[in-house]
Amino acid sequence: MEDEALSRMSLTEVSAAIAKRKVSSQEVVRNNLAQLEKHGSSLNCLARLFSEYVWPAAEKADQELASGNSRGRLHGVPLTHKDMFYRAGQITACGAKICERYFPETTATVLLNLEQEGALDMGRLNMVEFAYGLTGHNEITGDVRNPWNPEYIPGGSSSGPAAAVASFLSYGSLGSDTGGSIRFPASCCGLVGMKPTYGRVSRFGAMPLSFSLDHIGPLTRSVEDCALLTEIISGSDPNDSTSSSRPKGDYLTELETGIRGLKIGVPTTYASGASPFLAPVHPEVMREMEKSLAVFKAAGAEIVPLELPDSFKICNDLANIIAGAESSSAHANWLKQRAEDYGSQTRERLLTGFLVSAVDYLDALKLRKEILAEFIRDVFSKVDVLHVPVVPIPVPTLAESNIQNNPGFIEYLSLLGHCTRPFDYLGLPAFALPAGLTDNGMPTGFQLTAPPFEESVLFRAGRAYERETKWSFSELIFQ
Amino acid sequence: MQHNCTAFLERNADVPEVQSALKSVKFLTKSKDIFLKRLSFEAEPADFAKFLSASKFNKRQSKEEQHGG
Repeated sequence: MEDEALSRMSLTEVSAAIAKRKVSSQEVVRNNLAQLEKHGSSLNCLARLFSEYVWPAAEKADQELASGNSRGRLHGVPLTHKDMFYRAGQITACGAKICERYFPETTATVLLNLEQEGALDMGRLNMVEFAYGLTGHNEITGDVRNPWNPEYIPGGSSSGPAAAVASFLSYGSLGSDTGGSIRFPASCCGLVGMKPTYGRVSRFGAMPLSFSLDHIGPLTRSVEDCALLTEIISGSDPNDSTSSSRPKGDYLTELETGIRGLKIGVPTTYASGASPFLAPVHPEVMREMEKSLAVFKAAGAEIVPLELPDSFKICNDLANIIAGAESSSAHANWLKQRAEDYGSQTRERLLTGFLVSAVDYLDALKLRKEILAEFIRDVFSKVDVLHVPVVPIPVPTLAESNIQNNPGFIEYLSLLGHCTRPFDYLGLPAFALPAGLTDNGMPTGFQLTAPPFEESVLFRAGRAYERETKWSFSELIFQ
Repeated sequence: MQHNCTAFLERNADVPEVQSALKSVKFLTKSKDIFLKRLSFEAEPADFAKFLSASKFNKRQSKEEQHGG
């Protein structure tokens, strides 16, 4: 099989090809390693490869298949992930100098879940330092570049996963989302990204940033791949007290059943030029939002204008209070002992958290239930899913969004996550999908959100959209 | 640590980044205070997780109630 054809397969396609022994796991690994070594450095997406680990694992996977034994749905498929998922004995650097020699003693539950289905852990991908930032800049490991145009940001903090998956260097990748870090880079790179319900996926063995807001989920090139990975990594975990005891989700059975009659809510404030968020959404982004809604309508969905509760707007501020306090607490010792080893932007963000009082922090946590209850009552009693943008502006360049060179961008920086952060605060599942291109030729995306633990309807709607647009990632134009 | 940090920020109050951080926190807490009256005296942080976890069960229950089941 040709190398390029092999790279451009989806996760489910390559899994099927290995299972049917059309291609061996070792061939897939060889090709993937070669591609990562060839192109990974130009995008600066690769942190490190586990070559010594993945080769024997691939050989074993092929032997098992030859003997008629398959471990599961990802048998022999190599995957690379954000550099924040622990594997015992392997460095997990978290995009930071402080952790450059950190060897965890445990392995993340999500990695064990993938292994149970036969996946091979091939390496780690670059990220924003300690996952604290949405643009993808990193003063320690260097900036990851967007495969659509290397002058532009890939989005963060799962910058490496987004760049690698979008450039066919990984069949899928796990990221984390505390303020939008899965959905934001997915949108910047034209990918699909799922932030599941809080508690749906165990965070055990993943670097903590803000334990009340951290979520783990996949970035992929297709909806089916995203549903498959989310299904595999979901479920309860005795090692994570916040994980839900609900049974694992089944996201594939009803994936193709369509969305006839599905009610999709759209905030009414757009019509008046206002926004349900902290700032207006850019007209070019809105144009692509409208186009995506037309696709849903054509697929049989009903578009329902609705007003979001007032309290929705303060979710951003409340999330920032929580993230500030929790991240500063997590980093307090290192900030005392090794403050100079942080990048200046990360250090500054972490210091801000020390100004949050315990009372303000607890108030922000206590308000969560009240605001979520109101949101469910006012929104999900009327519609099945809500449709909103992901990134409120066209993807900016690396240069213009670097506040060290361009201090004026700081005003925008605080607003970048204002469409994504509220759903981390509310813990609701949120699914990012590609919408189209803005005038700078870069992708933009929208997100659908649903009631707690209703990921299934999001995948079904996403798949209907994907089918209707006949959207094929490999046909998108990028270098 | 908080004391040290606060002192550091006070000493550097004329640095733009510090001004920005102080302004940001002040704004965040002011925004939150507007909604504080919604909280009951008994409210606690763990209520969120309980509500999130129970939400589907409530939905099912209300459907059953509607159908007399």
